[in-house]
Amino acid sequence: MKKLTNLLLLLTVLVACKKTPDIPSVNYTMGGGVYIMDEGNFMGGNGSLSFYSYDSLKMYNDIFTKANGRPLGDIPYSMIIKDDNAYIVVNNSGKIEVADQATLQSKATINGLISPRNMMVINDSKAYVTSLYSDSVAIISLSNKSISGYINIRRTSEAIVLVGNKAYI
Amino acid sequence: MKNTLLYIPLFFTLPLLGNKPVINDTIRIKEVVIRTRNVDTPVSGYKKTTIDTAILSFNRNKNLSDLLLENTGIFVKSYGMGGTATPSFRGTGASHTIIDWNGISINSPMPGQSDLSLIPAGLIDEIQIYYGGASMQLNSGGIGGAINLETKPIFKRETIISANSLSGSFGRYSGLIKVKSGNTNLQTVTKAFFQKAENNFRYLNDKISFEPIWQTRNNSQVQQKGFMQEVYFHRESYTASARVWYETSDRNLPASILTLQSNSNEKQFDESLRTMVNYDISVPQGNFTVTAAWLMSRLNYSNQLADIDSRNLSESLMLKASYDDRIGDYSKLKVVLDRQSDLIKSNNYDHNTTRSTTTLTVSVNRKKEHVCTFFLLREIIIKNKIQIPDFSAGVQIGLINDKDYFLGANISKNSKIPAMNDLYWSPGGNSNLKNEHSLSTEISYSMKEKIADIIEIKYDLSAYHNVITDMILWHPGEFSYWTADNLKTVKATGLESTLSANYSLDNFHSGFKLAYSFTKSVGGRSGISDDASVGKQLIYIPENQANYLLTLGYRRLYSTWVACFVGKRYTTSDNSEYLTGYVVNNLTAGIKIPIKKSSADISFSIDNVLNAEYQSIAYYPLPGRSYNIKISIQFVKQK
Repeated sequence: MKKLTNLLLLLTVLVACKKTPDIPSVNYTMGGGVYIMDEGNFMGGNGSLSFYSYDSLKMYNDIFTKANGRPLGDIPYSMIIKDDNAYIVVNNSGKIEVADQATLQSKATINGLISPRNMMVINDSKAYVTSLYSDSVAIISLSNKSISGYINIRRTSEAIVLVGNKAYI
Repeated sequence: MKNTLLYIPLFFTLPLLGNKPVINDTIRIKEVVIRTRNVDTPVSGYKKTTIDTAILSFNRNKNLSDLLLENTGIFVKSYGMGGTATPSFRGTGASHTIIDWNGISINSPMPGQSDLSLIPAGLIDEIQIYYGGASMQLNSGGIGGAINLETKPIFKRETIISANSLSGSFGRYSGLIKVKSGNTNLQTVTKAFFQKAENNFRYLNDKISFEPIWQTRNNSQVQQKGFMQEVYFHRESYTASARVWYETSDRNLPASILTLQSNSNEKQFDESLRTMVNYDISVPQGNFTVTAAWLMSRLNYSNQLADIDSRNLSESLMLKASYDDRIGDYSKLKVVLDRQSDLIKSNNYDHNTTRSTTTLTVSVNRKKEHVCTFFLLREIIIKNKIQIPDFSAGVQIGLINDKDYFLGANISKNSKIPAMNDLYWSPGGNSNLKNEHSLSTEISYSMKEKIADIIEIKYDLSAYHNVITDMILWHPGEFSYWTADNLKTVKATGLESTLSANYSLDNFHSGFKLAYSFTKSVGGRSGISDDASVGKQLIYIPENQANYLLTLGYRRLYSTWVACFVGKRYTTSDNSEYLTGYVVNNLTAGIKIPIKKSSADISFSIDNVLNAEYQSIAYYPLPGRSYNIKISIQFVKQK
């Protein structure tokens, strides 16, 4: 009986092991370059991010997936860089992916947005995100990497620009 | 304790293989006559298997997709319960499998394929599976194979009423009622079914964000209902029949887990009406059969977010006449003339579209001593244009006199005409498409042996190679939409092996079946520049697949254990991404209670016992562990 128990315990250990994928960290932005966003097919979940390096004249495709082992999402629509962070607005996944701007390794995901389109950094601690299907602009806390509130503008929104201390939506 | 553990497997078992009675009482019954059309003629050197009434009866609450995945080597790509499910036979695509109903193709002429989730197993009496070139005996176009769904009568003077209900996890309910009545000349069979599921299971989404999130599947409800009415009449020399099959399916389509779940509002409504009349007559010179069928299929798809409102209706009129006769003492000749006319009304086509095809097939089957040979020649005429003829030749040799040990081989050239969507979908359809062609070769070995009258062992092994040329692919075109072209050559090579055994002694019955298939389906040259798929496995075709079935029964108790393994499947044509393999285990235990000539059957089952996380289609999760309780009652009244 003891042998059987030991065997069962051994089997439990064997089936419990799961190899964590070893994802190398690659600095894409050394030497400068440009990010290229591919929306993919609507509802297909196959949007991607590429980087064209001016230094090596090479194109690096699907770098978010390669850096994190998961897809970027459905319709990555816009992207901004703030300090060391890349904020990628993924429209039909209702989220913003926050990643290291050089390696694209994920730092956080801001979920719960309704059809987000464009993001504008207002100051060091705050950003606004427009929405295609809601009547509010979301306020993002850059320090917490989360939604801190909403501004009801009574209609849907698309582009946003900052001139002086005024945001035009 | 040791002894207790040894008895655990006995709890999960049932006499499913074969038609082994659970009760050991011997009941002498009057002779009955089973008549059906001659679709099921065994032909030598080809692989054909049958899912019999016992397995169908046990799985009557499932649809065809689950049934095939658990009991055959056919891979089924499924979006989950009630979601679209399409077959992949021997490394080919869904449109390369023909689904027949009593010998008449019910594949929709628009996509050229069938959704297996819309076919309830409970409506069917027998399923015949034709692998590779064997499908040519049934119809043209089954480059991968064909599945024939038989509904047939038993001419007996009695009335049988059976009712079956199932209730399970995730809001699953289903019911099936069958009424069979008649005498030795006339039989009527009425079947009606209903199925509903919420599919609101929980899953761990580790793809949507930095931290995995538990989510509940939403917008995944499905509701199906329908009926089948059959009437059969037969005399000494002829049988006439009429059949009607109507069903509807109303389902919400869940989104990929990469999208915001609350955004998903896709819906699909399917409606089909299938009618068929058939007349078989035996004349002194041979047998003559005429079948006429009219099929209607409606598919409405809507997606508010994407502003899509797709409405599609197809109607098909089919006439099939066959004549078979003996030539000499050893040979049999069969001639089949088949005519199909399709009409498509769709807001995705520029205008209503029609197409007619005529097919003439001549075949000879010869059996002399231990050698059987078969030859088939087929000519297809589309819109008055004669196509390149197809052919198939097979041979089977009995290795030992009076024993079931056989070697077989066949070679087939088959072709598939483009689906109407490939030709006329707007935008992207290409009216200049050619037929897809395949050249397949196959060798097989099979044996069946009985040991001491209590053990029966069956084994078969098949190896095949199939080259498909001019395969139709949709690819990004010159403009901003995808277009269809004859672009690809595909080489599919594989092995299929099945071992089964039954043991029966006194009140104890057991059986097991182990099936394995290896499929290498590789893309060859194509018309696409820098095609990264050349030399790579086709997407969503597992190289390895296996099924395991164990059944045990003791007196009125029964149980089964079904395990299904599906190996790694690539999801991108350059094989850069893939879904990992999975094993799903299902257990059932039940009891049959005889009440005079009637009976009741109560069973409890656990699906996905080990709660495996798996996907059949990337980013569409399938349910974890679930529970079902099933009650069946059957009343028999002999006249």
